[in-house]
Amino acid sequence: MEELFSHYMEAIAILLFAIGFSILLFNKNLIKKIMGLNIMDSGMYLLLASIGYIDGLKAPIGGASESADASLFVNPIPAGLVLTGIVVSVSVTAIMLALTIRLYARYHTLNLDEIFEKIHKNEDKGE
Amino acid sequence: MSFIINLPLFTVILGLVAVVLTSFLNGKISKIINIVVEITAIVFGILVTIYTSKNGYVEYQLGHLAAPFCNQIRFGPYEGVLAIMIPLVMLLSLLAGDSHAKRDIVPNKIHSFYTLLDLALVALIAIVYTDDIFTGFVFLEISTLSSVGLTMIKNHGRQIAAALRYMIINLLGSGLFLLGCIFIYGETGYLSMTYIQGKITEIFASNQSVVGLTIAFTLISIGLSVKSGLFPFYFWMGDTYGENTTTASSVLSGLISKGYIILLIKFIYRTFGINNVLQTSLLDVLFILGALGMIFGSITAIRQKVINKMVSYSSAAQIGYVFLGIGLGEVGLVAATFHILTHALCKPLLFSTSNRLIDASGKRKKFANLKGTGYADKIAGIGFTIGSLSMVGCPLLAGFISKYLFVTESIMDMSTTTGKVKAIITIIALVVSTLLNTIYYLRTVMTIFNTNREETFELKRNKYDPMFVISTICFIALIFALGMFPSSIISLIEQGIALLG
Amino acid sequence: MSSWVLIIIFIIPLLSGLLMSIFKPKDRLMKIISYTSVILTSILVWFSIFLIQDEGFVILKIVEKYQISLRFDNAGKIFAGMVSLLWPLALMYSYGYMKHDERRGIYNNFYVMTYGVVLGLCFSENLLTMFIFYEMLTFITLPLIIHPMTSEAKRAGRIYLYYSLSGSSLSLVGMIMMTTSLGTNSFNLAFEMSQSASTLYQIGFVFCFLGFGVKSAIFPLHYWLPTAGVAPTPTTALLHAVAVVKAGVFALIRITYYLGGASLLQGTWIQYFMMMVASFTILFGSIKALKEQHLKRRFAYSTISNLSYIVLAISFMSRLGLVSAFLHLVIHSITKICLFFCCGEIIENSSAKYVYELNGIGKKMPLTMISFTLASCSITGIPLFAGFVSKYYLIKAGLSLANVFSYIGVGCLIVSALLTAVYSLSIPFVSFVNKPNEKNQQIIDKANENSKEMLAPIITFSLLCLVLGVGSSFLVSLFMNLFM
Repeated sequence: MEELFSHYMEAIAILLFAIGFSILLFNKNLIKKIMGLNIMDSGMYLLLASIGYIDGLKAPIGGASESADASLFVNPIPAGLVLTGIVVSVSVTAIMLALTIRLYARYHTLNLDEIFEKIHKNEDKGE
Repeated sequence: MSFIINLPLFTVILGLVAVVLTSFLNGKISKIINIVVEITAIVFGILVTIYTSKNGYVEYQLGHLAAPFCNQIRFGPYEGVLAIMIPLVMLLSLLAGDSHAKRDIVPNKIHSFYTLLDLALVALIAIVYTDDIFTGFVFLEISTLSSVGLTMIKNHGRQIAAALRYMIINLLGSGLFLLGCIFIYGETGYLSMTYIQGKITEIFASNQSVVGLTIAFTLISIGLSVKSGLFPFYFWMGDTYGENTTTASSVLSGLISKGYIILLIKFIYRTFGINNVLQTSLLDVLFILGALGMIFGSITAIRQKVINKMVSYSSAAQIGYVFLGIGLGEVGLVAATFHILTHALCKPLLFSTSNRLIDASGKRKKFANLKGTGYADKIAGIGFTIGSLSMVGCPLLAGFISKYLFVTESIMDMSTTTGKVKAIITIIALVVSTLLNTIYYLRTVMTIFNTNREETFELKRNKYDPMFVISTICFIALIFALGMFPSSIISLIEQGIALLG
Repeated sequence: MSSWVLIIIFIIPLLSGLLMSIFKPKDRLMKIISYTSVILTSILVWFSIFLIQDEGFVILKIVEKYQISLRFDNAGKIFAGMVSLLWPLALMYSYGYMKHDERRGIYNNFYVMTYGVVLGLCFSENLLTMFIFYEMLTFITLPLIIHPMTSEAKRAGRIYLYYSLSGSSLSLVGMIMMTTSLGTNSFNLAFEMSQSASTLYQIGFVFCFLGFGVKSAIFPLHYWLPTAGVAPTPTTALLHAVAVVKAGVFALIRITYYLGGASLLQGTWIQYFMMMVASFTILFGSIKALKEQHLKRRFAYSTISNLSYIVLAISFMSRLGLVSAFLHLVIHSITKICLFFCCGEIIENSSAKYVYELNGIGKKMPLTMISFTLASCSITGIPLFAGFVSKYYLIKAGLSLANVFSYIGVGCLIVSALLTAVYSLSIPFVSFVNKPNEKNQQIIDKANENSKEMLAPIITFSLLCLVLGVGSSFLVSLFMNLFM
């Protein structure tokens, strides 16, 4: 229990991940799935950032007068990873939204199960 | 020649240039650019393989500093062989599905199709060569995006829904994978695979708790298994591969799912280190799931009524074979890699020929409607037969060598109880899945050559398509070559595996 | 030099069949080409039997320890010699039988190509090569079984395929185990080996036994054989009495005597298992044959029973066992092909299918039924006929082994001989002695013996049964010299 509270950032990050994951997996509404995806990704960014964070140290941006001593700064690599992750997440969200718009235009529902029902009905009519 | 060590990077850059060019040029030029890029990639791959088989592996740094401060790529004969297979299969699939692509895709958007193919090529080559886990993640996501794009290229409502479902499953897998990577970074502090392995070995050797690392292994394995279609995560395969245009189905099932498995192999052997993984029971779990996948994938394929979906679900069984090989440990990796090659050659052949057979029956896909189509389109019929025989394991074809390798390697380690149990399970799974494969493939072969037709519609004679004929002949030649002269490839793979970790 | 001859020999039928399917010649030309290639091949085979030395050569090295290589040793010479004598006559018979069939072209081509594959099997120097030809045999005989394209035929073809390919994966596993244990899979006749068999070898042997046992129709892997009875008679006769099933027992001979050596497994549970399976199948086949009224299925069960005679002989794992196995292989092939050809002629020319429809047919088809009588005497094992010779040496080999299981085997043999007398001799009996009744009057009216192409092989084979029986010492002493 102690550990969980002292590492509260990681715990919350995993919690966010779990919430986002289950929304993405179980919820029927497409828009909510996309939201779940983003929550899941946010959880991961929080986790990454918390790995790099060291109490009391500064952000790794050097001014003209600062010396380049590594012990003064927070670990910069996770921040870079978070940026990359955000880029990936944005492109994925964009594609999913585009697909959702197409599907809505065709089937007039945001419920994935209903969409598949309609598809199977159409299929049985076909060959 | 030290110039050759630049070639992997050049391949990736060339692919990216092609992606940019094809996104705004028109369809014809895009196709030519694509073909040129793929042929160049094949040549580069061959040069890299020859060079590394003589000189050992190469570590090539991508920045001013060496790893772990800057990114690097590392390659040996193993990566070289895979880097030949990927553009080769993509080129042949492109030729095979060319006429279908013209028919299925909206004409003014066909250049985007080639963009997606190039993107997929770049992503797969980068996954093969990478030595950094986060680069692996980024290109993993790029391949996911391009594969989703390929899934919905046909623009029917059904495809779009299938693409969305495929995307969701892929994202679940990627999420787990990324979480695992973050854990690894948190535990070891490195992103470069070589250094991670060193740190992990240290952690395992000392008495520190390895719970975090075990969880990381598990998350990464589950994530990549979900994406590649291991049992029980294979139910999306029918819709995704089955309803698509020929080139897209071939590339998706033959190459992209293999990309995820290649990344998993790299993780097990380079990042974790095989000795560390053997201390957990990860490989045993993959082994069992692989064996189950072989059987249940085939059972699902038998129950299909439409030929495309049947061929798609048989991919699930073949991926089970590969995981069975991975689960056997270092000895099994040769079999698994050889099976990746075999499947990458057979599956596009099966998809392209079955789509032509469907054309011959006037777009009807159910089995009963395919009677006699083998005579209407002889090349497609022969191609489908040879692909099926290879899947079943007929001698002189590539599939036979795969089966031989699986059996030989499973009985190599009979000293421990685990070894004996694994050998027994491998043999049982192999025999049962051969029978199941026979049932659905050879039943179809007999149907397409059936001359006793009571149906009322006439079979069409397909138009002669030279690209299709060329690609089918190439596929058949490669399957025979791999079946009759496998020793050089096998020794390359073995050499590469020794240099892998 | 000898290497090229062997390759040419089995390529000729394969190539001519392939060319004929591409160019599709008409009837007369097709017959000429087929007869030429088959007879030429047979002549070359017989030249090679006398002229080619017993040495192997490699065609293709696949991986370490596994290569495709050819060699023409004594066992191969016996099988090839027999097959090459039977094939031209069988081809003649098939022309007579398939005269009215529309798609006889395709049938003919596969019939010719199968000859090449069987010869390739005879020429195999090691287990891998033999396995490859064995697989090819399955695939190249499949179109012959499903030829009628009725749903029955397709079902028979599917069952044949499922059984054969399951068997082949078992044999593959067994082959790899045996090769790993021995270090090589080349065939060398061996009776005494210094070391005892490792567990891996034994398990591998059992797998191979089950795998090759599918084509040898041991119980319970026999089901495909009676089901394949729906195929046209030339198929059932040649393939399922001579080529396919004999390839199965030939493979069993190879793995028992030519790999680790016969003494490796003597006295082990494996030998007793083989003997029990063989004895049971002998009885099972004979009893089912007795109950069966459909002509071709009756003799299919008879084949199952006779194949296990050979399996029993193999399981004795002695020199005499090997000699008697080969004797029965050759003699049963000639006898059974004659019986099946007679059945086929009866079916074709009178549309009788069941034994009870044959009352009084002897008057209309005398030559056929006399040949039938001769062949039946041979298969029963009446002295002066060929079948007696092989049975005699079989029993002698069993008695000389002198253990419980071999006595059981000999007992089953004798019982089976009695049952065989009933089910085989009863047919010529009812055809000559009984009078036709109203139920089969139509059949009797239709019956005729007009097809010379079918009659000639039948008479030849039945006379051969008599000749080999009377002049048996020549054959026996030849085999004895080869193996003892």
